[in-house]
Amino acid sequence: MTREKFDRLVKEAEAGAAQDDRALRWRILRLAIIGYVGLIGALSAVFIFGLSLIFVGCFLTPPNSGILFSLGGLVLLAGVWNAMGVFWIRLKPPEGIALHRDDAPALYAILDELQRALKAAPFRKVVVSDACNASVYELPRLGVLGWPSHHLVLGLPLLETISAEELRAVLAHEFAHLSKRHGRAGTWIYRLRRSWEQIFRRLNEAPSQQRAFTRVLLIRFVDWFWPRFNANAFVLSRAQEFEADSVATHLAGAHHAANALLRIELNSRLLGERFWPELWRTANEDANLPSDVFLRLRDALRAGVPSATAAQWMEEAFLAVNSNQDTHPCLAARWTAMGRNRQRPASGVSTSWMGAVEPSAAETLLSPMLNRIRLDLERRWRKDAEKPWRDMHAKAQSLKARLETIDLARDRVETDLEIAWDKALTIIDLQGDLAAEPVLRQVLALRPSHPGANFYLGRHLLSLADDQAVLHFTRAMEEDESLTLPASEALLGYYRRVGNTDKIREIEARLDTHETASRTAEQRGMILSRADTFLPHLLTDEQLDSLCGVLCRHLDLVSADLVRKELPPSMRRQLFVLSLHTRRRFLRGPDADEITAIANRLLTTVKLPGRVLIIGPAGTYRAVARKIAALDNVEVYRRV
Amino acid sequence: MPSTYNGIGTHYYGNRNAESRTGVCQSCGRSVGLKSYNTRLWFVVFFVPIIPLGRKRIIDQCPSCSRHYVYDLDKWETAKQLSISGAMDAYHASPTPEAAIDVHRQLLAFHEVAQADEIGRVMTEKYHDQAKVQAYLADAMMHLGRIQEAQAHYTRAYELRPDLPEPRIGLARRRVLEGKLDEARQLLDFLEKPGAAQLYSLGPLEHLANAYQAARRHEEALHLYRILLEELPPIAQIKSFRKTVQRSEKALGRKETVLPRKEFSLKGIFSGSRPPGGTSLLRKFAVGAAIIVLICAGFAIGNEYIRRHRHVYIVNATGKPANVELTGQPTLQSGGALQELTLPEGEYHVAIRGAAPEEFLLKIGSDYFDRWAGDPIWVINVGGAAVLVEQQVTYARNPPPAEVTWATGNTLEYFPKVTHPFQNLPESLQMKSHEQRVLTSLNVFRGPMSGAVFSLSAKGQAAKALKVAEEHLPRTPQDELLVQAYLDAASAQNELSRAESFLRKGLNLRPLAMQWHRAYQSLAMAAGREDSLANEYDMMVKAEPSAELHYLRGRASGSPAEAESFFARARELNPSLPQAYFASAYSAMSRADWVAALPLAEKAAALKPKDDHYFESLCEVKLALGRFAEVESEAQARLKRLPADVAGGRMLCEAYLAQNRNKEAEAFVGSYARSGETEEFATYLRRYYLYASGDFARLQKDARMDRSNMGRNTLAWALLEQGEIEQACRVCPLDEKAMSDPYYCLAISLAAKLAGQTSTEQHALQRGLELLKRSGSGAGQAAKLFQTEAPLNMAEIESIELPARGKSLILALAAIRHSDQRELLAGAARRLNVSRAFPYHLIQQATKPVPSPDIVP
Repeated sequence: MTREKFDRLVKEAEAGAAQDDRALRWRILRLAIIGYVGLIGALSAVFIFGLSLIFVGCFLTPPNSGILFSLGGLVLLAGVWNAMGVFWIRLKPPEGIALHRDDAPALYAILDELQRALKAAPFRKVVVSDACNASVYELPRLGVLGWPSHHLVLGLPLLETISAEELRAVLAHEFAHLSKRHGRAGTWIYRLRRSWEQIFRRLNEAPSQQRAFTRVLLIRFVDWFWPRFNANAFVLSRAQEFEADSVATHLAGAHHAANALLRIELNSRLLGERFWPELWRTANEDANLPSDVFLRLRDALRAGVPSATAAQWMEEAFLAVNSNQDTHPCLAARWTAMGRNRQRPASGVSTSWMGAVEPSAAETLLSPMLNRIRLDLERRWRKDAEKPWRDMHAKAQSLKARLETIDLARDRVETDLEIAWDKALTIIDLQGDLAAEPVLRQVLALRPSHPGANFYLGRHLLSLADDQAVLHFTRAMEEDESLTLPASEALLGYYRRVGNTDKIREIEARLDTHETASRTAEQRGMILSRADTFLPHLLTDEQLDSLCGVLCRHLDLVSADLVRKELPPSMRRQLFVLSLHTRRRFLRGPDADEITAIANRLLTTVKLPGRVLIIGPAGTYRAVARKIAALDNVEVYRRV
Repeated sequence: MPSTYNGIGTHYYGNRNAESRTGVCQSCGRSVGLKSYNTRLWFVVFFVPIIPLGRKRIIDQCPSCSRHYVYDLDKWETAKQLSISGAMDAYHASPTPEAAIDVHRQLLAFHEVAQADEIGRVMTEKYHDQAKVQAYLADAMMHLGRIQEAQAHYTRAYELRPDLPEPRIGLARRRVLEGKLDEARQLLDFLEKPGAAQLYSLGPLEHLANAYQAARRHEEALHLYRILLEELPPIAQIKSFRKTVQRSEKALGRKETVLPRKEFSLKGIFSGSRPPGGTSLLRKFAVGAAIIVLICAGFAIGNEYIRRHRHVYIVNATGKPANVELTGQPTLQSGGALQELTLPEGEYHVAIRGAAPEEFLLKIGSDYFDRWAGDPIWVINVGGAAVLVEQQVTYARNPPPAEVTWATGNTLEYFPKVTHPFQNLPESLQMKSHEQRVLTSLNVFRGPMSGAVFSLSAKGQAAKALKVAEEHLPRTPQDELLVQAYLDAASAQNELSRAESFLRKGLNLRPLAMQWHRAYQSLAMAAGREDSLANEYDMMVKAEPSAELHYLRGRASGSPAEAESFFARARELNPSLPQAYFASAYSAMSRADWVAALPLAEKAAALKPKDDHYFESLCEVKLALGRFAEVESEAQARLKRLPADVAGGRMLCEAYLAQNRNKEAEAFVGSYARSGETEEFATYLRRYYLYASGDFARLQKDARMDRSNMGRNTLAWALLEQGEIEQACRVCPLDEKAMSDPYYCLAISLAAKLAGQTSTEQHALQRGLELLKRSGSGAGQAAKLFQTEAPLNMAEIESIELPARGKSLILALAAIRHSDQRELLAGAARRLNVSRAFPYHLIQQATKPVPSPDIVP
């Protein structure tokens, strides 16, 4: 389903919810039941089919009965195997350092207090991760059938960033999702959506051999069901996010809840855009993993970013708009809901919101164990990072060597596009977009339309919030369709950050068109049908003369019709349909192979401003050829 | 891939727009000419295309393994036009080197090689100074197998951009082929730099290392292998790579290896990457081992199943209910019905309560491999009362006769191979013409017990036959055939005294069992107890003066006159007692007093019309009296009633032959053979006729291949009649334990005498007399005739009561022995020699009148 259609579904659900919240819940409940029935029904169909074969086999004599028994057995076996594959999807539990009650009594005291206050389900496990976030993981023990267990994940960077009071607000928010405040059905739907989201994502992945059989049965149902359920549940989930914020405000105070949100937003960006990339870039020089990573992280958080950057990030944090890809509302909306809109920090005080507070929640709540947790987390990180780090270092060495060899032809960089482009790519890989900017500009000086250079320069400029980025991206997409997706996604991220909803809509529409076109071409393989609309070719006389010059070389050709297929406006490249009519043979109709042979010869000689599909009155597209022949003014060539 | 089974399936037909290129097959890895063409997929029946399944484009079909890629032709053509025209459009819009490369690449991707060449030529000229274009063209030429052209492009690209990896690799590959390894290494130096594997494939480096190794430059090879190991650690787990490295290390005499320890991975064995040229030996071994393990597991499960499912049957023919208790099993109440138990192997204590109580240990078990071979069953035969018949039948085009084994008397029986326990065997099986299959059934014998006893005796199981008969006779004392079978078995086993004592116990059985008494009397007389026997029966008559006992007392009499008085008294007491009439008729017949015998024989036959012996005796009397027509009509009437009646058939034959109507006799016998009656009966009748008509050559031929008792006897008759005494004795040896017929021995003696074989004559005579003495009083008297050299008393001879044929034979022998009384004795013998059954012709020959010397020419 396209983003546009999904947005429409969400809007409809929101409109409905605004009028009657209960109706929305009932609708979701109905859809959930349909979901269960559909899933179980599809698998039941397999079982019924298998059992039917065995049943029929009971009335036959060997060897026919044996064949049916075997077939039935195989179908049942495949059904069981695939049911296991669908229902018993093992979702990996969150990774991190398990935090026991004895390790952090103060933290557990807060958790117990919140659980009691909110009458929420308890957490089965609390783990500390390296993410700057707090989250609740629900692991359905029975796959789509549910029975969840709850895991609380607290990122150490988050704990280093916020105070204990602010963490209390964060935890209250998470507990609220598990509490009865959402209502039983609401909590169940919230959890169900999250569980199914993960499972259907897995189901939609490239089919593994195990799931291929069930996929055939399920995929159509899932394609229909999931967007509808998701859209409705999405609206409810977002409403529940606001409810959870309200709970956090009530239990921890609006000040702390709002501050926590802002700190998480800014410091996540700091870590994502500054700390971790810079740390990994040291792999270019140092083959060994750095030590005290999480102490460095704490220090980096405390140091923050330059005030100008901080001011820009702050502004962007409040400019960001809601997205239908994420149930969490944007920061501005959440602050407004908390009644803190008027207390927005002024840009001058931005730096105080960046970095860690002292004492941080980590110091307050994990104090005796904090160093051990840091060490454990680091050990874990080192284990995971060891190979990528080594590979990155090795690659950097190789890239350096490559750069050296390219630099041997330094004098040609300014004049030789090929060398300049190779150098730009090597620098991007080695040092990033910023370092490559001068060489990218050299490439564009040599060929302004160079798609790759435009894309990378656009990406770099986008990180600097430079409007020129859009220009480069546009040029890149015009020159190379394969860049549409990465360029659009980069732009989409940027426009969301700066809150440009018009542009967001425009780019989402472009992405929808691109994806639909790709999927359709992939699925159908054929791009013409009798239902298509055909337009006049609009060729110039010169172009027509050139075409006729080519066609007249083929003596078997009697006439040719030319039209343009009507395409969505977003599709830049035109598609011409050239319908050929050959000489009639005695007692023989048109020959598809003959048309194909002529088409193959014409392929490299016909020059038209777009793609060409050459068809004839025989073969797959004969109906299209007849339709074109019936149109007026389509004939462009006739042998006299 | 399309496939057919017995000509039915899918198949490609048609080959248009074909092209080929030299390349490496992605399936089998061979460097071959890969073919691409348009075709149509058909559903075929016997390779005749029936249903078209669509036009296809076959891509890169390998001539060796026939693997290929296949696309829907229309989709292929559409994709081709769109891709190529799209690339052309892009190129026309912006004629950059990248766009040109894209056009060329699209053309090659869709196998438009000729057009690609045209574009390639343009590119070569237009982008002469573009190293990447040159490098691309070089790669494309390599793809098409045009090495020379590729080298030219690589050289040009290298000249333009010595830093570009593609031309360096291409040129290095060429240098390796030329043996210029150091130059190649120089070109590939960038691959030796740390981290090269992150940017480039190190395949060329391995190729170079292998070339060094082939050139015996192991130091260099090992250096490169070490680089490969550092850059790509997982390569150390590939077996082929390890072997290659080890080869160089061995050549250099290195004791320490650069290879890390091989990690063992069970999963890896089964899913390991395939080495070039086929599956790894270890993987084959692992797969083979897995299959063997599965097969062994299957065998073990099957064997265990057999071990736990052994069949035990319980039969109870005692006529009384019995409870059978097996350890660990519920008590079974065994009536008459068969019961089946399925038990695991092991030892079971069996206790039978009620009828024939007994306790014993039942051990069920067999060897591991025997479980596959046989179909064993265990049978608990309560009291050993049931007679179990095991029938082994061979199903084949020319099957041998079925083998029948009897089992009875034992409470526990084990049968090692029974395919059809207590089931009937199928009438026929569907098999291949050359095939032969043996099925074995086991059943409880339900027929007349005499048949079982006869059969057991014939199979040499006389002891068992005796036991069976003694088991069943008290239950069916009136079964005359069983009594006879019992006597035969006792005689064969030389257990006459046992039989006598057994029969004695049943003398008081009522209603009186006539045959039982007769058998007892025969045994007593054979034992020489005539006097005591007479006394015994006197007492019985005194106690119970019945007609039957009078008759029996008459049989026990030593004097014919006394016997006749008892027979007469018996007839008075019970005028419908056939035995009393027949006894008198028999006496008259043995005196050749056919006239006196006739009314008595007629009365006996009338009272007991179904009795063959009475009928035959009556016919014999009538034949002796020359009343052939009567015999003929009575025999025909009897045959009409009972078509398979042996006696009727024989008598009809006799009647025809007596009237010299040999052809009619032969026609009758032949018609019998064609009538579909039992083969055994038809054979008997044919042989009877052949003997009776004196056609011994045909008789010998007919019986030559027959190994049955009847066949052996018949052959012996034919041989004896033709003077081949030794052969006859080989066919039916005189000293054979089963030989119990004194008249057969005497017939041999007679034949030997006629043939002038004195020793055989004496031997046979002694044997015959010995058996004769055992046969009863009349026979004993007859035997005495040969113990004296003095002239024989004809009145005494007349008083000897024997069957007419037997007496005739004895008289014939006596006639030879007493030449002075020859005429008298021979005449008496000829009078008695009426029936043409063996040894009719011998007797006739021996007793033929000696021509007077005056008429000798």
